[in-house]
Amino acid sequence: MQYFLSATLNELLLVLDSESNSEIIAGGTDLVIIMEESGKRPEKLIDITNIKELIGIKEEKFGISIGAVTTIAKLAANNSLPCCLRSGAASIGSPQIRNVGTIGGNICNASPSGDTLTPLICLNADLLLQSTKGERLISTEQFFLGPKKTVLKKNEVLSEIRIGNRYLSGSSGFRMIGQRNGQVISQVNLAVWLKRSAESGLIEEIRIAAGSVAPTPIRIIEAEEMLCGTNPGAKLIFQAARSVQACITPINDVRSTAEYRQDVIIGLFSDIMSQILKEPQSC
Amino acid sequence: MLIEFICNGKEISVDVLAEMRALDLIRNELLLTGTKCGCSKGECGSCTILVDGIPECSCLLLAPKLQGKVITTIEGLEGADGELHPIQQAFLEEGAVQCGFCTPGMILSTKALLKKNPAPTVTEIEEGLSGNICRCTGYTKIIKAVQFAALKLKGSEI
Repeated sequence: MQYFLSATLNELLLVLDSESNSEIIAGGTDLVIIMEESGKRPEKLIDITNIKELIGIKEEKFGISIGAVTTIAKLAANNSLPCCLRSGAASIGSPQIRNVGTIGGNICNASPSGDTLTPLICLNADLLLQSTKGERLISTEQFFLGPKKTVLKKNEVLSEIRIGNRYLSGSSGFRMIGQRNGQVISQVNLAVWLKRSAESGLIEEIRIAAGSVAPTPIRIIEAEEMLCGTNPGAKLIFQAARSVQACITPINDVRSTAEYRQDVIIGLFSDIMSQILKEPQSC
Repeated sequence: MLIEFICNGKEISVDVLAEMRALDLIRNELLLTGTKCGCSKGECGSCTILVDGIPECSCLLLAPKLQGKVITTIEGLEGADGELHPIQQAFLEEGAVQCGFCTPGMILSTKALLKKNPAPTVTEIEEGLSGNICRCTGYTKIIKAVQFAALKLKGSEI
């Protein structure tokens, strides 16, 4: 196996174009485990963590741009990011993992349980995919095809995550449940973003996304439609939680049973909604 | 491939296979066996080293990633005359060590924590050490040791 440290984005795109059996490595917190367990090696590993253009969180006209190689620790500590994304980042792994793992890695690894994925879906974030042929912007919701499967082509790299100004305003929250508090992969995770009308206080727009309950993180449009245009009380929130429950298709796996996931999502949803509605600034 | 980095203040230049983990390089090539191999999945934290001062799991770190970095293993905490580091001394005095397997990782995570936050609360200590698992102590004495180390190190360079 060869190891190539790419220095610039241009150089990376050229290498991706010319090497067929290569694999991108960022933090490596998922990839190194896969390599160790499977014994399989790509012909070439392309390390992108030295590419400065891909690192950092910047304010732009359209909103906020997050470089794909920004670490999870940097996300969790950045107060200009919405609550749901910071909380999602903070719930990943341990300090050691968050210091190394990247947001681009969490997205491209495409685990149904990735804790930044549901926040990015509910913030309507766009992903910038680049290759020597050009670039395309795709919504996070459209990016995932199945567990570990995405629309990313072999010669493309995810370079940037964009969150628009509309979704930086409003309030959001994230909850996950695992077998203990630290160092675990989500059994279920849930993110909600909403914006209330300044005059009426009614919910003007709401986006809900759930993880680890289907082959990809999913949006729960039925519950969004129930809550849009309302100022929901406990009863309506419970009805919406029931509709979230009806939309998910969890499985039994090493971390949890389908039945538990069906049950626990009701409480997670009610918790997030009451936090967002009662203490929108609490994060 | 040839990589160059600084380990415990010493310049290292070594030829490695690209798929070698930093953990195996440190233990088997540099013969610094204070860094422990526990779960090999980044969960237990016993392989923790400091890379440019930041705690990372050396089991998830490929050796080529050390190029140009400054790393510290537990052996690097020893003073010039071989005396223990104040954090090590605090762990000893509080009895925060039982089998000792997690201790190097615990101490390096403590060092990074106290550098960032010289007077952490119990919650902050728990958070700072949440990537290091101890199966013996129940953590009470470890937390006390970190508090004691913070006292010992008050006002000094960590």
